[in-house]
Amino acid sequence: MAIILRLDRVMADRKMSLNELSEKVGIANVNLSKIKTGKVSAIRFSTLEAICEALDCQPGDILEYRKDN
Amino acid sequence: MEKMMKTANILDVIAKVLFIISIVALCILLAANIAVVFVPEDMIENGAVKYTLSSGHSLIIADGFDPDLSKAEITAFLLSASVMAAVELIMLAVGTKVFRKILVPMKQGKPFESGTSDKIKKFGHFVLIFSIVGNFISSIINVVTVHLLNTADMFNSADLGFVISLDGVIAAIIVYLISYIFRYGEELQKQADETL
Repeated sequence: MAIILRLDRVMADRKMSLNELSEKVGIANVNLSKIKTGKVSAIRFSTLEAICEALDCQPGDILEYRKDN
Repeated sequence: MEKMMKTANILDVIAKVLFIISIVALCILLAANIAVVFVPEDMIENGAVKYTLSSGHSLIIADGFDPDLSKAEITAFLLSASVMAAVELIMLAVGTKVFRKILVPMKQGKPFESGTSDKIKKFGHFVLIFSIVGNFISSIINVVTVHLLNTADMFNSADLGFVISLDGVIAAIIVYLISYIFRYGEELQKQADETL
């Protein structure tokens, strides 16, 4: 898919663990792991908002567009 | 959702009862067939198969045959009628089993669980086969019976040209269409599950 999730990179920058983010965002660990590994086909604005708030970042920091060749 | 689960539960109980009835009826039919084959000649009297109880009362097993018919002819008629009934009962048992499989995800409140549309499609195949095969077997057995009994009046009424049940075909088409609706529902459910 052309949209790549960069949550792992942002989490590493903020030195935040999956469990910590899970608690702050209010999403199950398993689901957050799916976002981290890019195993989701869509993400709600409310989820994105919660993640951005917890990590103090912009949606663009988490989502990246890469043209398919 | 609760209403659907409740209805699915009720339908499941009805289907289960129908399944049990069809199996029990099939067993009784088999037992009756075996009994008919071994029925003694003296039990057939004036076109009726009678069993005389020790109390002197007669238990009529089958009635209404031509008094001139022999035991072999009556047995052949009863056997072919039993085969027809057995086929219908087997199909009813299979149908209720397939139908119950559709109800499983609905009972759990997950109507669009992966595979439901395939089960509905399978039920559609069953409805279509039942509407075609059921009538076909009935007409074949009708003709075979008449040939065995060799009665001119009945022969005239027997016809091998079977009629496909239009109701059954329409029902099958509707079931197929419902399966496509469920397939779309499954796709939407998958998307919803993958959205976080």
